Amino acid sequence: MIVWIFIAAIGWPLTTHAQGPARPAAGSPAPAAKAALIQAIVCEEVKDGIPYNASVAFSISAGKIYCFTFFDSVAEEMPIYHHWIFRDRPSARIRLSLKPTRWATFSSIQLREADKGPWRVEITDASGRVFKILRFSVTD
Amino acid sequence: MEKLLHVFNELGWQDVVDIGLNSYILFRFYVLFRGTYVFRVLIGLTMLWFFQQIAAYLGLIVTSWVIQGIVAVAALIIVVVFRNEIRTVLQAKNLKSILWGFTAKTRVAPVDVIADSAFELARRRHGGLIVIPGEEDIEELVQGGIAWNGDISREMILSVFFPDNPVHDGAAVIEGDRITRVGAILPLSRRDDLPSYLGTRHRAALGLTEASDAVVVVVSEQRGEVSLARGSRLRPIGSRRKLVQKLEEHFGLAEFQAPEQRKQNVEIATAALVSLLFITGFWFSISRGLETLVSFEVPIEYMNRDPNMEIVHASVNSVRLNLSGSGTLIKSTRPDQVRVRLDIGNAAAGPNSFSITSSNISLPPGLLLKEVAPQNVVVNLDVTVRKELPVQVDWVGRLPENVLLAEAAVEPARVEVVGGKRILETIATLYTEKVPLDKLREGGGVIEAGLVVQPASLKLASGSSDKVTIKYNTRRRE
Repeated sequence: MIVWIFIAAIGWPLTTHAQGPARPAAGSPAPAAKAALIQAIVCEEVKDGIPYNASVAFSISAGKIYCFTFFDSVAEEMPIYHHWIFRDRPSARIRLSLKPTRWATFSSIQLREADKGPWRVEITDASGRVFKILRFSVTD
Repeated sequence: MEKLLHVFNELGWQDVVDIGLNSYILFRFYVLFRGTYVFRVLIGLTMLWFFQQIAAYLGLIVTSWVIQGIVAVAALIIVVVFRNEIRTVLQAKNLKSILWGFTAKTRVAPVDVIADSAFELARRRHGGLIVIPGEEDIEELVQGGIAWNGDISREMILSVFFPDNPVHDGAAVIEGDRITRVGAILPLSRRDDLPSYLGTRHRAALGLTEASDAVVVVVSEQRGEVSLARGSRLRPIGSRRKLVQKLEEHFGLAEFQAPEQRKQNVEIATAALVSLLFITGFWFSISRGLETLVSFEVPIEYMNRDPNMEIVHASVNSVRLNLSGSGTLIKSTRPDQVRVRLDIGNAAAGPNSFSITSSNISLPPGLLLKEVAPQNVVVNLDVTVRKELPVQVDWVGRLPENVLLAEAAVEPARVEVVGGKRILETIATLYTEKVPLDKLREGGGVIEAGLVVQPASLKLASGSSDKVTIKYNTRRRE
């Protein structure tokens, strides 16, 4: 399987588009980190720091998909990771940086024919504590 | 000679038991049926079978077929025609007399009185029927009559069978030195080969002796003749001395073996020897004739597995056994008779290597193991654990261009599975079967999907459903 990954080391302070309160990851304890995850979605596009067309099933024809995360209460600059996992096999581990105090950041992958199937993205801090797991499928 | 010794050296204890047991069965068959027509017909059938074998060996195909047909039909006819005789032997006798009928009798009886009485009755032309039971109980065979239990004497016997006596037509039963019953009714023999001059009295005597080990002294009213019925034979007794001798034999009182007894012993010994030789020859022709090689693919059975462990993987699931034996044996071998069993009771978690030896293989008697391939099996075992896994929907297909699957919630979100620890360490998600997107309703809905539990060694924990409910929402693309 070939996965094309575009690491968005892009991050920016956010004040406007947080869409409701952050939900803790199901089954995973909220990390005692210096940041709180407000929003985490997989989407088709991120434009001007805003995610568009969030979904749990993406057509391969989308070409590229994004994992968008938005943090609040970031005490200090810190790394987070987006682990892209295809059928329980790690596909990519992307390091991103958070900066005080509200920060949004995203990573993305380029889709190919062989990427069809169930995926998940695990969002963790540097110590491996899981903020949230996003599950979705890449389909026809 | 060396070859013969080699063959005997290869005999196992099972072979010896096999030959011994079957020889004894044949011998007992002879003992039980000797003197009857069944036995004579069986001898004829056996000869026919030999002729058929010879004909087949010589390539006389049609002759062989014809004899084979005759033997098959005759075997059926025997059962039908001689059903009474067969039933008499197999049902009327007790288990002991069927399996071992040589018990010496020790009871004391007034043999002289019985012999005197019988010949006096014959002289007077008075009919008589005197029953002397053997080891077997004849209670169920003898019907009616009057219980008496009186001391035996010549006068008493004569008076019982005196023509004006109301019980003179029945039988008198003598047990020990007492007449226990008079006027008794005996079962009639069902044989149709008895001479026509023998009347009901003689038929009744044979009816009882065929079904038990009793002897019956019969005195013919018409001919004034004394006969002795024993087994299926009815023999005229010419003299008092002869009757005494026969009765003493019956009671085990003879101090020395009479020529008749010696003759009988020789006959029995010969029958035993012939049975042994016949079965030995038959056994060798079956088990050692026409050596054939055959190859069996046999699945491996794993025994004594620790219930907390499970087999994750085995290098092979079956082994190939090359066996040799007679063509007849190999043709008659069923797959379930050839088994390969591995004891994995002491196996540890992880890969375990086992050598397959003859001790792991069970074969029908007569077959020999030539080769096993492969000789080694690696069995990977794992400790069984339980693990709760999140369920993820495996979506397939495609939604309309302007529609998005906004969210989907699975109920239950997590399911417990049971399986090998090593396998479960590599599994973090349980997927549903493929759920087609094009079947979803616009706006949202609820669907059900089955769980795919893979690999096959994994199982859902008891109480976990193999189906989940998916609540979904769709919306228009932005």
